[in-house]
Amino acid sequence: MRILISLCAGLISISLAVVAAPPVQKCELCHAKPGFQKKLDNGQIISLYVPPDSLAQSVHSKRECNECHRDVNEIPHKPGLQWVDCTGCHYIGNLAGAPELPIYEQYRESVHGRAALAGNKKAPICQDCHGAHNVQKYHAEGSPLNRQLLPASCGRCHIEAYRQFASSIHGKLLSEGNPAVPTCTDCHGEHTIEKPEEPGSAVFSTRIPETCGKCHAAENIVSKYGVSIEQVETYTESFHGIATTFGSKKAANCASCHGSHDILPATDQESRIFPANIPKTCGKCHPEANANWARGKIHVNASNKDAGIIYYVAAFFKWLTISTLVGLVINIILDLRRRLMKNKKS
Amino acid sequence: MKPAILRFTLTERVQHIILLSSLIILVLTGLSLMFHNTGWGRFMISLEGGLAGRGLIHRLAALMLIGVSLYHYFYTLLSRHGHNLLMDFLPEKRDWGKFVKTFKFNLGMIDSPPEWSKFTFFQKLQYFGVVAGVIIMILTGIVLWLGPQAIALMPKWLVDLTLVVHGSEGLLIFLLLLFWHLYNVHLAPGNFPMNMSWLTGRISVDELRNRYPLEYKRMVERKELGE
Repeated sequence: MRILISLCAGLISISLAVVAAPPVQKCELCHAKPGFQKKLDNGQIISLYVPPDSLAQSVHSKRECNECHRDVNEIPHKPGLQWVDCTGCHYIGNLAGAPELPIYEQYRESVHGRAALAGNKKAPICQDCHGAHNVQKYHAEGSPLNRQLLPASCGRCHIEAYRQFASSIHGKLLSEGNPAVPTCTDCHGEHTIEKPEEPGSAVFSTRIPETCGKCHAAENIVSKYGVSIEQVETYTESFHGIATTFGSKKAANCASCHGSHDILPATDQESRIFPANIPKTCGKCHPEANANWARGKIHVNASNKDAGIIYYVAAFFKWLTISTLVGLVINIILDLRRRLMKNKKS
Repeated sequence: MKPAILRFTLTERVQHIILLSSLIILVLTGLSLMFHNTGWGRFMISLEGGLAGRGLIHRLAALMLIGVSLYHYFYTLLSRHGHNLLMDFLPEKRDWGKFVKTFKFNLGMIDSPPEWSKFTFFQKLQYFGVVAGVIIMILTGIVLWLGPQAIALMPKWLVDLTLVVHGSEGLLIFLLLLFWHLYNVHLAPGNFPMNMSWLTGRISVDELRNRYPLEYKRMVERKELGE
């Protein structure tokens, strides 16, 4: 009996090992060795080391190496191995249990996807942003796409934008842990990302007010931080805003005056909208801009007392118009009444 | 039917037609910008050839208004006819009493209306209201026409104030013309569909005697009515 049990246990353990282990173990023979690397033809050295538990801790913990590396089926590997194509599982209608999301198609049509599909080796594919073996949910702590790490992740390619963002009011607040400030994708989109010159881009000139307005016109987002939500409405009611609404690409939008990645508050001397800098900022489009341009508010709301004399004059006209209208209507009624009475008498 | 007599000379009628055409265009193009975020505003702006077309039409009509205004100032100050017209428009002391009397009459407190000379006090108010309003609109309009250059010449808040005054005053003038002048000359019983004297320049002797008795008496005394 004892012999039978140990035989069975032995058989089970052998069969388990045969079913599950061999591919992984074989890969790990080389790829689990720190320092395992390869010299490319151009002299560049790339690491081929895969930390042993990186896959186990990722969302793909149940996947095997060759489920993604499909063209690897012999050792040593054939030359010309391809990058892993995530769309092998990540497509609408897949049977592998991958989430079915519209983002796969969106990526193909985005500026990154179009460039990558056209053969641009520098364009990011899925794993450039999401990570390769250690893929996490985007908001997970270890994900390069979580709010705190995202700017640095985009910044691996977009170095100058990242540098500017990091020292901007949005970037500074982000590093202080503010949960409301935007990171890259809040303005640019994620898989739908487009060049700013493309009309479909969320940062296309005529769409910028709407994009900034997602937060700056939302009382529950910016008001907590003492930022007024009036700025978006006063902009859309201004000459610039009206022209932008009617499709002008020349009229100033939020970013024309405030900057984009390098936005700073008006109280900061480096800010484009610091009063002393206003002539220069307006001067980009209006060469005649001088110190007078800073004498007064840019975002004027005539129905807010902060507007000073403008508020009082607007209020005066409002009541003058209302009382005039009432007076004229009374006048018409009296006039009609008298004429009717005259008709009755005669 | 006694023959009609001349109330407005040809040049006065032409001035009036130029004035009203320019005002209608200015009001339509102005209000379409003021109400740009309504369906009506967007429709009007598209009719006017977009924002640029709207601006151009508004400025051309403004030139019409400036031209006819300048002509009218010279006309009233330098020509005999124009001077007489201005004199007829000047309010007199006794107008105030008649102004009160009109309300009493309309309320049925007295039996007969006050007697007016060539123009009623209300017409005089309208005339000077339009003169003052048009001067305000022209001055503020010139500032806005200068746009960025204007902000270089004066503090930005003053240009913002100018914009508020231009819009508010324009709306006020429009409402006054609609609910006062247009009611009186078109819709008021007795005038419907309209009082023709703005085109013919003439008023019948009967109407003159009924509506402007003092002017009638003056003309009788001076034997200006012939028979």
